[in-house]
Amino acid sequence: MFLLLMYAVLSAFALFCFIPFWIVFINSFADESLLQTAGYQLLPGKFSLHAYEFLLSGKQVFRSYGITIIVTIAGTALGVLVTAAYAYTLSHRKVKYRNILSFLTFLTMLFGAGLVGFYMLIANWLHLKDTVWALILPYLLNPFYAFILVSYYRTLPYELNEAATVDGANDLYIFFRIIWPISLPAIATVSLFYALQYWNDWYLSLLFIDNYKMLPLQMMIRQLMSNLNVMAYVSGSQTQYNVIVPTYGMQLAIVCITIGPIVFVYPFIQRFFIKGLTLGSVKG
Amino acid sequence: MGRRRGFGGSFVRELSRNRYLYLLALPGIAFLIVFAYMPMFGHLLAFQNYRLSDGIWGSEWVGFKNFEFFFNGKHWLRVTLNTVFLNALFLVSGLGSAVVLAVFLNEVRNKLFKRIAQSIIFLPYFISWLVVSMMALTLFSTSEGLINRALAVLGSDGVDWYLTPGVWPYILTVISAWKIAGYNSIIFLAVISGISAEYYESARIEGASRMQQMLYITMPLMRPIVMVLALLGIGRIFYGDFGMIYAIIGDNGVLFPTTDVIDSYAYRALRQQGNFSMSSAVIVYQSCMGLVTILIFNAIARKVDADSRLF
Amino acid sequence: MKRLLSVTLVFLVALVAIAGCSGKNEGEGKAPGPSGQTGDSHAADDAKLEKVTLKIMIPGDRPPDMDLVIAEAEKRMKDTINVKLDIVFVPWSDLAQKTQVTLASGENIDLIFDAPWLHINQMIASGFYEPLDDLLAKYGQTVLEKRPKQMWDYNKYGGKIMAVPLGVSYMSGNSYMVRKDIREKLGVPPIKTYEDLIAFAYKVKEQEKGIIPMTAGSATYSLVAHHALNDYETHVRPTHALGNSLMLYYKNNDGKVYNLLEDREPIGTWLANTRKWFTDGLIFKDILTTKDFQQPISAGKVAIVPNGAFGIGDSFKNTFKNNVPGGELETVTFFDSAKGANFTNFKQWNFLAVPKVSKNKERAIMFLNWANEKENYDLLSYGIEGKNWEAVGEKKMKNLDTSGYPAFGYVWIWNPVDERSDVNGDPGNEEKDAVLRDADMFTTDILAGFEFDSTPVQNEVSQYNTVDGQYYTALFNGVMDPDETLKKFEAEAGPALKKIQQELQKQIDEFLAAKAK
Repeated sequence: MFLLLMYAVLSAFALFCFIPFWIVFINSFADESLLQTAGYQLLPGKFSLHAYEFLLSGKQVFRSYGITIIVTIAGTALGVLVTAAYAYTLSHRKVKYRNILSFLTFLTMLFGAGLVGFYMLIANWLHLKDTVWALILPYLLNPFYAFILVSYYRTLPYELNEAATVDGANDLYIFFRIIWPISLPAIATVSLFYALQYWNDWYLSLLFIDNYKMLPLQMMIRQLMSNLNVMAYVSGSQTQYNVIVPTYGMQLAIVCITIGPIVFVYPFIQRFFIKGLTLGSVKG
Repeated sequence: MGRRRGFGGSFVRELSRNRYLYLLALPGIAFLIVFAYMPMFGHLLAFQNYRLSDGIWGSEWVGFKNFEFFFNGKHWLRVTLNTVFLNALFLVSGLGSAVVLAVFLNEVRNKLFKRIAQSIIFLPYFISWLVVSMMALTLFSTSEGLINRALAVLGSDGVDWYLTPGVWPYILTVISAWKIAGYNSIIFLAVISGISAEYYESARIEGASRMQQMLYITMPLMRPIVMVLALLGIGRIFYGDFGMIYAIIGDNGVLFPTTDVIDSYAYRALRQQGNFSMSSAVIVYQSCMGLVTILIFNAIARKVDADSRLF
Repeated sequence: MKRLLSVTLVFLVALVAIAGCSGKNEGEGKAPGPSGQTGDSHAADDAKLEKVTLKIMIPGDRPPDMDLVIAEAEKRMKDTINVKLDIVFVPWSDLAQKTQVTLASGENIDLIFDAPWLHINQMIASGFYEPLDDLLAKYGQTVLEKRPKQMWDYNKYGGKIMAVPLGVSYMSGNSYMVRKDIREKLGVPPIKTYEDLIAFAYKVKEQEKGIIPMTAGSATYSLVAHHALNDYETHVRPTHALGNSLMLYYKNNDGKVYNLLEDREPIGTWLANTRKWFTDGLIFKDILTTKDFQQPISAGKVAIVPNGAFGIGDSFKNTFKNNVPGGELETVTFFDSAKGANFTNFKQWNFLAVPKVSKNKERAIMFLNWANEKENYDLLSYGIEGKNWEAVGEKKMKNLDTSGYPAFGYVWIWNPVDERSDVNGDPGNEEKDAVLRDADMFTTDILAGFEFDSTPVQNEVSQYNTVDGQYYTALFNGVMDPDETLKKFEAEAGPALKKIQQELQKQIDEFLAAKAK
């Protein structure tokens, strides 16, 4: 009975999530005038590849993909390493200042960085403009993810630690050889989040990338989308604008194009946190 | 003087005793100092009549004058309450649905179903707010929205959804939960998969049913992470979800009484002025309120369950 | 151990990837130009100038053929002013933020787009832009010649030319798009007056089930504000203080500021009419939610919509044709093209400025001067001739491949002399457009040249804006009852509005007094 209910709830929610996505996916191939007149359909009657042809034309998409992939891989690797190590210290009972550190970490989440100060830091003091570092460094440690890890580390039995210490291992060894492997579910999760964060970001490139050859994917798309409003900004003139206004089909195709690679990587990461009951059995 | 030396001494002793642990934290600490604390002085703008040409140290100090535009009139209270109310709804629904999903998914024995379901519930996270707003229009449009057409079949006149402020907090809540539940459930699944299998084994030996295992093992062990996420959310409860609200509600003033949040309000107030000082003032207000709130809730969490505290 | 190894590996690969990528920053653009101070004698024209890269920041989306155009432009300039172009495009929606931080951090930009609707007033007040009078006189004769005197005289700040105005006219065209096929089907004769238009809307409501008679947009494109554009009796128009809003307005040419909360007419009547149409079901119910207000007519759902030009663009027409086979669109305008019928203050919408920090100010103006020569203007505006467009005589052009290079002269070089019009345009509309472009066809607004300094009422303006955002569009499209809403407006923003009105009036009085001397 309970099982049945469970499956019913899960299936219903999955459907609730799947249908909108299906609509996005299938309508990104729909004929534009069908979208304009009839709106989103479950199964459009007329198809066209126009949106994709437009978006994938030119060299810029591939360059942008390249930049985004590099930033995502490098940022995720560095970010996870920095965050996992930092969070371990925050969670460790031996560390006297862990609460102060936690508080100071949380504070950055509350206050954030002021825009002007932030800009000057990256552009004028660190001279990172037009480099990929400007897209990577500012997001290396996300307090939110750090706290997820802290919370996870706290659930690990402390005896693990004590046993190892008695054996003469130092904290570096304990972290990398004992804690890291048994924390893989949480680390995989945080890696996924870092990857998404880097993948989806346009803000840093808006501020710090002027060289168009280095614009990441999301920024390229943002430029395209901003043409939606040109009319509003340049009113007061008669010229008929020829700028390409993103069509309904393009808006949907953009979702599919940006989501593509993540969907591809996802099953590999999923392995770690869906395995369930087997992983947790490691014990010191 | 002596006390200070004492403090300094214990500080050094602590550092050397746990040198490897502090070494692990060093990159993180360096990062926070450089990328979070150094630019934070930018918030001083809130108390200045900031002129770009004079810079942060050269501009005139004006106290709380930049806060006036926000606190003049009575709107600030309404938008603050809206922000807190909406965020509370989002937080509870987002975490609640994710907990249910994660626990259920964990109980599923059919591997394929589990994998597929888990992947699908993550999909909404990727759909841009712009597209979500178009979908909302498809559902709620007055003349040809699906809901009104369904109501028409039932013989009802339909509702002018986009002119009815009362329903939007709940519509937004559903949308928000839909979008974030999959994301949050990943965190919970990771935590559950870290739970030692021995717990379940010994429970089974003692004859606990799956329902009981779920209630007495899985749920309590998830409590700390749920609490931590809740606390993190509470700290940011004064920050409205601008991306969502602006995409879905936009400039529809009729809906503002229930959906206008601090961020959208400040955006409207300042979009034609480009005044750094005034926008900083709003952020300072939001952060300070958030700070007070989090201190209270963290203290409560500490009392109730030390593992669930943030700091 | 294996795991640790693989992590390290990923890390190393990432590092290598970054190193390979971050190599080429800075680099070009460092060639020292002639110093930014007074142009001394050795900047002689005949000596070949050193190569200089100008960094230009303008809004938009980089067109695919930009590189071709830049290459051609650099080739043409090589033997004269020897300029290389580094053009940075910023999305329209992020323009304010990006240009602000760029200027604030003192980065070297040589030419930058700005506008009164953006933050040109604040930037000038903060001293970010170089006054251009001398530079233009010395290096920018063509720039000066290509714009009439009024355009220069009435777009000064503090008596100086602070930026080059980009514009081709002194007022925007305005009309309503109407579904011609429906009009003819219902046997309605061509629409001549506003009353005809509304009568047509009622007819659509009664006889064309499934078609919504009217929709509209926000601000200028709201029904009431759009109607006000053709108000030749009282000449109601927005003020210098509140953008497009008509909550404060000028009337006739009397130099007075009126407050809608106190002086209702004629706007009050228009609001009441529009409200009636809304309750009668003439107006699209979801009007406040549509992001692109003209989309419903191109989708064949609506019969009438305001339009910010006299004609309809080709791409819009094509979309409509695809969406509504057999449908036809026409424009109806109530514009009066008689000499002197329309008022203007000659204020332009967009400008190009030279930041103080620029190291290449002379060269920037030289480049602008070069860009305002006919054949170069053609290149930068329309792209490669024969590929992106084709000249038809001196004043017209034919579009070829606009997706490769859509005309966007309005963000950097626009001038009324060299701008071409589309050869396929409607001759009637072109006559009206010609009126808009001819400074002498207008009656000069008594407040031409006036600039409002909003700093004394900054708090009031931002407070007002939040209330405006809530009610204005709804009110001006009849979605809310005018009497009730104006009462709410009064309660929430009345005092702020009053204060802005008084401050504006004070500054206007000073301006007029100074002018009278």
